[in-house]
Amino acid sequence: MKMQLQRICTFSYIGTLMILLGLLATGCWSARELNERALVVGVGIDPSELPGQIAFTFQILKPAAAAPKGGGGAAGGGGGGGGGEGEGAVWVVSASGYTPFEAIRSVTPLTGRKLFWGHVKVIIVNEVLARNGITRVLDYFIRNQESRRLSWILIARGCQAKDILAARSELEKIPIQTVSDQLKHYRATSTIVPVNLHRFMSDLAAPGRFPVAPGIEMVAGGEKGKSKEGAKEKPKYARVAGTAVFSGDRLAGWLDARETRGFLWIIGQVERSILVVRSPGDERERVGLETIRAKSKVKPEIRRSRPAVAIEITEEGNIGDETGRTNLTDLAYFRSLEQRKATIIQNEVLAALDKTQKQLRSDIFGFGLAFSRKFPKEWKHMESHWPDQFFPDLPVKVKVHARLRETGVTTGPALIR
Amino acid sequence: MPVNSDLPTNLRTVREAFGASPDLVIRNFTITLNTGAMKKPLPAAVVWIDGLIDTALVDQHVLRPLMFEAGQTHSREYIKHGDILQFIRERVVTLGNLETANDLNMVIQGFLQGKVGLFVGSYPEAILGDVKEWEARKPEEPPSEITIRGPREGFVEDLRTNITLLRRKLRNPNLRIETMTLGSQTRTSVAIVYLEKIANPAVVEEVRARLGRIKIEAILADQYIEELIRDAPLSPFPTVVNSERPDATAAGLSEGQIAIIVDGSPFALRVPAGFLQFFQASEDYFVSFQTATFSRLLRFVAFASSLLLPSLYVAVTTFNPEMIPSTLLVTITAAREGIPFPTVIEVLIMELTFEFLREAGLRMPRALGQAVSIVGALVLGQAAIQAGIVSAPTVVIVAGTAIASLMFARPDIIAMSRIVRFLFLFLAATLGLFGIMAGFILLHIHIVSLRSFGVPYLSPLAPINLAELRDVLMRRPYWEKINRPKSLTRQASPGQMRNGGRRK
Repeated sequence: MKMQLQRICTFSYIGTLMILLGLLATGCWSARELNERALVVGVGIDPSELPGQIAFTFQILKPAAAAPKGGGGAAGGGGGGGGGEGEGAVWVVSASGYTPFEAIRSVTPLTGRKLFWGHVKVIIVNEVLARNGITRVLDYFIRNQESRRLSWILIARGCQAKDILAARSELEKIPIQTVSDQLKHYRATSTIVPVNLHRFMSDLAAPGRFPVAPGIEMVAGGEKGKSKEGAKEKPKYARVAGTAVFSGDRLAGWLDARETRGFLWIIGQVERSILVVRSPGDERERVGLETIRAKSKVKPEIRRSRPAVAIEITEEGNIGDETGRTNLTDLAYFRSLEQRKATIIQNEVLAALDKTQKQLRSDIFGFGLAFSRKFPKEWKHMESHWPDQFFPDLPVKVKVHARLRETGVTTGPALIR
Repeated sequence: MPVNSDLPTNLRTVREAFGASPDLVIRNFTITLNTGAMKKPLPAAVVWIDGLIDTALVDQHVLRPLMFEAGQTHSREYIKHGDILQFIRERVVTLGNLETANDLNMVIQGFLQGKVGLFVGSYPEAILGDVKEWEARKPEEPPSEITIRGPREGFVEDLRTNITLLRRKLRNPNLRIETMTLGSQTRTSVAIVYLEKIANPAVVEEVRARLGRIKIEAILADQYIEELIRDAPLSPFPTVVNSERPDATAAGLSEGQIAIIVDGSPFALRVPAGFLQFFQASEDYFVSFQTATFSRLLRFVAFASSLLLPSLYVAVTTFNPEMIPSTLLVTITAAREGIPFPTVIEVLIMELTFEFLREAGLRMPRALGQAVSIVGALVLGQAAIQAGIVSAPTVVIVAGTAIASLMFARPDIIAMSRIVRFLFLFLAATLGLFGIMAGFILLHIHIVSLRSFGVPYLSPLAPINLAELRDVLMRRPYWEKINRPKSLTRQASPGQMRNGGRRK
């Protein structure tokens, strides 16, 4: 009995201690109710009008308006949200400061809630800032414990980042969701590169590889007939397009859609793509070929003490459609289509290489990294001169194996009687 | 106190012992003995307690033979040796279960157990005949463990019937039944039941010893025994299994467990008990093994969610909202807008309301059930949300937890999970996921350190035994050769057995 009592005492003593310590801990821990947080979904970074300052723009969620109707509506009643459609679901707020942290903190008096970074989908950096070095503005997002490295990095091209955050979306209640969806579905055409904070940072840190980031621009969109001025419609939608190529952390220049795919062929990240070739049966007509699988092998070599790279790209795909009426099941046609496809891929790859080697001088493919792994000794001598000496003149041999697998669920063209 | 050689003195003593209770029946009569030459009258008395015996039996097998037939039977041989009692036992009374007692206290105890007592003339001995018969419930479907395809019989309050039920399940002469009387006031019969050669003799001995150490005035149900003999009496985790089903108990016995049945309680206790045993329902053995395995795995998931769902919700929403998918977070946040309480308080309010409802449903008269369920459903489901007191996701979480926690076959686990759930909720509210993890680790340390009658509580999970584990996680098909679990019968060292200590 005495033992028992003693045990009860010990238990309750430890219990009380745990409770007290727990209460002490609450203050320093990040316990914060959801309705005391402002959920930031998009961040835009522009140069400020004030000299030397950076302007931050946030797309902040208005949960009551963003939630599905009838789902949450706490004090719902009949009103719903009042904000009306689409644009009511977010609030776009700007602030500026000398450092990102200062700018970010200076929004809190306006929002009344502490900004929460855990759900930032997209970080958009103004082109001008990117040219001056992007790490200056991204440092906060790497340092902060709340921000996630899965946020997409984009470079606003020819417009302000804050314009993009203010752009509308017809489908999503949260406009910036469209941008992240566009990136997620890059595989449909493989003409843009999705890059998140993590990938950007690790590219930046890797020896012999420079980062890229997708560009984003404003487009008019919509039907032209509807607007009275026709072509002079104000751009209102955001679209991911092109690829920003960095040299170090500074923006060096842009790749267009075709060059972007060339880049993706080399690094083996083409998921799906549509390649349009002239029909071998009827040269006036075209055939759309879908890529379903693509692989690449980058082989760094040292030939006569000079570095060189051999790239081997293996692609497989199906026939997606044809405008003509040729029955393409003929083996000769197949071979011919494969040949044409390979040529297109080869050209895209060469275009990307040409642009990066000759114009931008930025090794975004990681050729240098491949050398550093395979020839660590030689790399030591090359490393410091890689971007300006070795890379621009690097001989690259490209070999493409393109294969055609299926014709879809029919063999020939549509039957007409 | 010995039986007196004077009949009236004996009767007086008995009457005084019962305080002249009206249900004490004393029937005086005369036995006429036929010695061949003469008829010799002999005063006698039959004593019983009304309501504990079958009077028809007494009339037919005791009174009638003694009063009529005794006179017709030659009894000279017996009278010559002076042993009338032997004559009565061997030639007159036709009851099956007879004994002779010369201790009056034993005789009085016998009355209380439904025996009829016969005092004859000046013999300092009494004959006790077992004619017990009292009102008892018939075995019916056990309400606490319902099966769809299994047998529909359950234990009743009568120890004798319960043992019969077990006997009928295990028609095996090795079935051993030992009874002892416990409780200085209630004098309750407690039976230890086990299968010789299968049950570990050391555990049987330990059960005997622990029961023998019990010093208590009253034992009215099995819970008394459970609390008195269980290991780790302070732990919320049950270390003794109970079941209302003879088939489940018989299954336990055939695996080497030892059952303890208390008179007056329709539950049989079984030891040693393992934690994972509480996840097995009787139904598992009456449906196809795929179905049984599925529902068994479901029970593990339900157990985890009934323990952790509310606390995980609180921890994740208030500490780590980045873990929630954005779309879901938007919904939760929207629902929380305008809610006056922190999430923990919200969850606590709903959990408490549910506990109130559950208690109300258990204790109130059945006729009021409708009213409670209507008010409960409205208050819980609708009004609280519409009034903006709690948010809809919280209600979903609490409701999900409640359903999950009610999924078990064993009420002890439900009771335990209620307590532990609140502990976790508290940890989550103060320390977030870190707190939950810490609590989880502490809980594990606790469970792993438990033993039930020398058997590690978490076996066959810890210490791991893959072959047995398979049988616990799944219900294996009967055509697969399954060995009896060794962990239940494995010899444990005496030190381990006494681990977890028994009170004096």
